[in-house]
Amino acid sequence: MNRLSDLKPGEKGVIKSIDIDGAIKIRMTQLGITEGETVQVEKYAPLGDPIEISIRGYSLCFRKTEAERIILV
Amino acid sequence: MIKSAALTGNPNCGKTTIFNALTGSSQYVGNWPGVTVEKKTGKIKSKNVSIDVTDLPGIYSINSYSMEEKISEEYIRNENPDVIINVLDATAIERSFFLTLQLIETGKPLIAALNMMDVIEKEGTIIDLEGMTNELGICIVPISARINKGISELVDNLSNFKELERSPGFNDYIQQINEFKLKGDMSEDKISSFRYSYIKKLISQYVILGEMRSDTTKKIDKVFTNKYVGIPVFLTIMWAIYYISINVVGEMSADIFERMLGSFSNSLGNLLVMIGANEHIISLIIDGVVRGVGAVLLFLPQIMVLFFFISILEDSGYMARVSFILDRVFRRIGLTGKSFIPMFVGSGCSVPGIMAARTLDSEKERKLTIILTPFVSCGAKMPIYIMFAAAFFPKHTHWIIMTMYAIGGIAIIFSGLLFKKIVFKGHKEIFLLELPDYRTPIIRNVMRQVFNRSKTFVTKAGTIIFAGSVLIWFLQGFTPGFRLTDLPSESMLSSIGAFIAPVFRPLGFADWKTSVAFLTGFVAKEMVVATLAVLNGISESGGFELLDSIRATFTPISALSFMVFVALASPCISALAAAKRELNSWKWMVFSVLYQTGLAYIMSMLVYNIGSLFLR
Repeated sequence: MNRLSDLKPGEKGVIKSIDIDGAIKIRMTQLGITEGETVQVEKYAPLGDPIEISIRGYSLCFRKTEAERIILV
Repeated sequence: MIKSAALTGNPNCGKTTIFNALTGSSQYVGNWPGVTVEKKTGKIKSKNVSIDVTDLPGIYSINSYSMEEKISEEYIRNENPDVIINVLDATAIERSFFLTLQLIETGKPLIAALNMMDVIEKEGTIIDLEGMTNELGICIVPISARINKGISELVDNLSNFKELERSPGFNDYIQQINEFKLKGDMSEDKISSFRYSYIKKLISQYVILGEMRSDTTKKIDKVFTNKYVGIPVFLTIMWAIYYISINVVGEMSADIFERMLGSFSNSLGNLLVMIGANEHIISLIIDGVVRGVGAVLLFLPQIMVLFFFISILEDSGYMARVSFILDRVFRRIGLTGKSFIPMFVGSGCSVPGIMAARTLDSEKERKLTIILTPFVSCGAKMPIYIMFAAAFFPKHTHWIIMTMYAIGGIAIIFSGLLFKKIVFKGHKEIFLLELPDYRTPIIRNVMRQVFNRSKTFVTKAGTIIFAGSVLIWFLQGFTPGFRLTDLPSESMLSSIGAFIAPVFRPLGFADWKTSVAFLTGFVAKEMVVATLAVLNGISESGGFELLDSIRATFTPISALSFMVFVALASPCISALAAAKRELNSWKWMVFSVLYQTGLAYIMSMLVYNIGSLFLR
C-alpha cells in the first residue's frame, strides 16, 4: 500500500482514498484533497514533521499522522 | 441600487487590502491565513456611490469550522447584504472556486473579484473571463489589489450591479447539487468532491496555466525551512530584531532623547517660574506629567523600530513558515504550530494576540493559547526591561530582554505540559495550514502598521499614562489626612505601598515604591516606568536621573526578580478584558489571572533566592 507519507520530497502521487474520519476529512476535501487528484510532497519540516504538499497549485501543510492515512494509487 | 456589500473569500486572498483600497481605511493586513478575525465596516467613498462595505474573516467553505469563520458564515446567511463580493486568489484558482460555487448555491447576489492578476500574468496564465462570466452567470472583475489595479472597475461594477443568466450546463450542476443536499444521502466530502470535479472542468475550459511559475518561494524556503539551518535561522532573525531595535537604536536614541527631555523639562520649569505659576502646579507639571509621560515616550524610537520589524515579518509570509517549523515543538504542549501566530502578535500587544487565537481550530487550543499568550512579553513591557537592563546590565540589554522572552517561553512550555496532563486530557488537535507565497513587504503597508501601533503607544502615553502620572504625583504629595507633605514617606501612596509591600518581600523588592509601580502596571504596563519615574525623581535636582535612583533602590538580583515578575504576572486590564471576551467565561479568565500571577510569584522567588545564593 502506497501512502502519501512514503513519498520523498519532490515525488508525486495520485490520491486513491482518504482514510480519515470526521471534521478533518471534510476540511481536507474542501481544501481540494480529493480522490483522483495529483499531489506532490514539497518537504518535511526540520524536525521531520509536519509535511508540506502542493495540490491544485498551492501549498498546504499538515501532520504525518494525516499523511499516513492518505492512500495513493 | 446597491447599498451594502460584504467581502468574502479564502483566508489571505487579499480581502482587507481591497477593503482598505475601497474605503480608504487602514485595517491590519498581513501575509498569513487568518489576519482578519472580526468583521470591519467602512464606506466606499468615490464618485456618486455610497455603499457600506463589510470585511469578513476569510473562509474556505460555508460550513464553519473555526470561530472566525462562524462570524463570516452567520453574516452571509443572516445579514443579507445587497451583494456579496467574493474575492478569489488567482494563484490558487481551483481552491478559490470551491467557495464561489458554495456561494452561488445559496442563491445570494454575487460579484467575483479575481485578485492577484499581476502575479498570474507574469506566470503567463491566461483566463477567459468572459467565457467564465457567461458560464457561471456572475460578473468577474480582474484586480491586483496590492498595486491598486482594478479597484475602480470593481466599484463601477458594484454600482451597476445586475444579476446575469447562467449557462444551461451550470444550471444542471446547481440542480444536481441541490438534489444531493435535499436527499441527504450523500456525505459532505462526496459533495465536496463533486464540486471539485465541476471546477476541474471549468478550469480546463477557460484557463491556460502559464509555465513561468516563479520559484522564488521554493528558493527562499530552501534556507528558511531547511532541515539543518531552518531553526537556527529563525533564532537568528529573532535575535537580530531585538539586537537592532533595542541595543543599536537604544544607544543612538536614549542619550539624545534623555538630554532633550532634560532640557525640555528645565526650560518648561523656567518658563513656569517666569510666568509666576504656583509652586505646586510647577511640581505637578514637571515632576508628575513631564517625568511620567516623558519616561514612557523615551522608548518610542525603540518600540517603533521593533514594530517595523514585526510588520515586515507579518507582511512577508514568513509567519506561516514558523508555524510549520515549530509545530513539532507546540505539539508537545498540546497545541499546533498555528499558536505561534497569536503569540507572536502578542509580542506587540496581548489584546490582538488573544484575539488572533480565533483562527485556531479547536476550543481547547483556543483556551490554552489565550491563557498562554500573555506570557509573551508585550511591547509595553519593553520600556521596563530596557530601563532595568540599562541600569544594571548596560552592555547586555538585548540579552536580558531575550532572556525575558525565554522565561516567557519556559512558562509557556511548563504550563502547556501541566494543562495537557491535568485540564485538557486526551484531546487530539488538528493542524492544517496553507503556506502562502513569500511577498516583498509593501513599504506602505509596513509603515501603516508601524504608524497605527506607535499611535496607540503615544495615545496611551497622552491619556492613561498622563492621568496616572498626575494621580501618582497627587497621592505621593498628600498624607492620608489630605495634608500637603514634602516627605513621600508620609504620603497616602506610601501607606498603600507599605500595606502591600510585605507580599513582595520574598521576591526581593519590598520597597513601597516598587509595590505601587506593580499595582499601577495593572492599568497599563508602561505605568510601571512612569510610576518609578515620578516617585524616584522627587528628591533629584532637575535633569533625568531615573537610572541612578533605580540603582539605589534595586540590586541586580532584585531587578532581575522584578523583571521576571513583570514578564509573567497578570497582563494589563485591557488584555484581561480581551481574555474574558474571548474565553467567554469569568471562571476561565479569573483562573488564568490567578495562574499567571501565581506562576510569576514562584518563578520570581526562585530567581531571587537562587540568584542571591550565587552573588553573595
